[in-house]
Amino acid sequence: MAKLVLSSDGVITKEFLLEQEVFNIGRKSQNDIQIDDISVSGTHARVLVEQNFYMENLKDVYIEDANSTNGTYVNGKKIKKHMLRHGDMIQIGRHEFKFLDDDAPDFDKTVVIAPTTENVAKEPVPEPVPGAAPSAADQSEQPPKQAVKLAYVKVLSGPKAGKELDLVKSYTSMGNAGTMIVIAKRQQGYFVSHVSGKSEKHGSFPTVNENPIGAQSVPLQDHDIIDIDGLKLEFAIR
Amino acid sequence: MNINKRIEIAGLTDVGRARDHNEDFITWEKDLGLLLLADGMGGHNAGEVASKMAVESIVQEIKDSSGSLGDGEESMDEDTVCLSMSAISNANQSIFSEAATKPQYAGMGTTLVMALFHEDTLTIAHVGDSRLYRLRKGVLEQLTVDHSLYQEMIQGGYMSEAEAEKKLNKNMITRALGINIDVDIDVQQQTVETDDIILLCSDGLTDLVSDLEIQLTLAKSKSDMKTAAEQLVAKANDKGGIDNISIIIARVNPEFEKSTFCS
Repeated sequence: MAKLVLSSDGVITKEFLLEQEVFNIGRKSQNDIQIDDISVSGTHARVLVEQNFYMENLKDVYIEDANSTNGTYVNGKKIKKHMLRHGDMIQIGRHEFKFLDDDAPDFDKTVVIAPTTENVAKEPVPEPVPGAAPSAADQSEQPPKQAVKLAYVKVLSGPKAGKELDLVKSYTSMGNAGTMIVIAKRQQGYFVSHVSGKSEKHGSFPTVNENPIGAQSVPLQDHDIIDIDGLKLEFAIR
Repeated sequence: MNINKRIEIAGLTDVGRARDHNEDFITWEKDLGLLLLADGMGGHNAGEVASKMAVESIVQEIKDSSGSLGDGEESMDEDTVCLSMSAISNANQSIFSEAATKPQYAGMGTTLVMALFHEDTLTIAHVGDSRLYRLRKGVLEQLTVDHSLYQEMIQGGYMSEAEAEKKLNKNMITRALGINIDVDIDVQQQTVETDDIILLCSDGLTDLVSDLEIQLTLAKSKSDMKTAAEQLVAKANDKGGIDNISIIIARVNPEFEKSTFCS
């Protein structure tokens, strides 16, 4: 839990746990953290605790100056709004708060903040019942593990119109006029991405339903239309 | 003629000045025209395990399949893209299952940047914030886009560069191998020109040494790739060496005179 530790002239006087989303700091009594001192404005600053977009267990804490007379400083620099990091020193009037965050990751190290999807490999494997041999019926009831339905692309334009191609491989690439795409078959379905090419015309981005395929791969839905520089393909599930 | 005979490669990986072990892993296979660099992460020695696993498993798969490139209906370029992606994706699954089943490896992952030369094409694939640069006619260009929160916030228009610089830590990456059962891989292909210099590097270099310094070092290196790699590592260490520093440099030499080349 993140907290602010208040010290006055170097002596720790109080700790505030940041349990709410907004904390007002000021001289007036309606503030969450009241500092009865002339160097502090009526409403001086506020601390905002926000959920980190990527990591569920991480909160982003900001301090924002509320147009105070004497200003709000972090590590000696006057700020308007500042994202707090473990160990930051906040100055409000003659008072100092130290921002401490026990949950703070070690920021010197690289961390991955990819939004994790279902953790397939971590699913508990059912314990086999001792003595019970698996019957054929049991096995047939079990759906094939991590099965992705077979899909295909159908060419809608050009000389190969009508041709169908089953997406059996993990990766299938297709190109037209120097523009290339790859369709990846994954646990969660099919995804298309753009392979920026060497002979590509400027701005000829492939599209899915007329939306350009950008930096990230795009999940494909049944009957999506892929356009590779004029070559139209329909994606469909068998 | 096989372009791989014209490529000169040098690489170096260094623990830096602040860490006690090196979690980066690099390798290259000149005959395959393959260059790989990975920057691992995870507790204890898990980061080293992840980066080594990634690189070794990709090399093996490409070695095993490179002979059959261009055999089927697809073009050589299409085949190379699929082979690269499939090798990386299989490496991802190996690391992921290792991390899921062995407690000491829980949470390990790695970045990856790969360059594969074939004929006049360079296939580039990457995941995470390890980069590939190209120096062409004296100008350095970063060809990969980092999969980092910093980069994505700027690219998505959510933050200005100045704002991101202030608010975000650059070490938060949005993609890595070994973190999930599937991985989104960026692949691109570029035409190779004589005298191109390709640089693969970990963030231990680019967090400390500016693009301009990299450009100047590579431009004046002429044909001595090994010295250029050593100079870049030294520059990062001079600035604190806060992370492991890894570099692979490849230079495309001019074609031999046809008369002296016997196939």
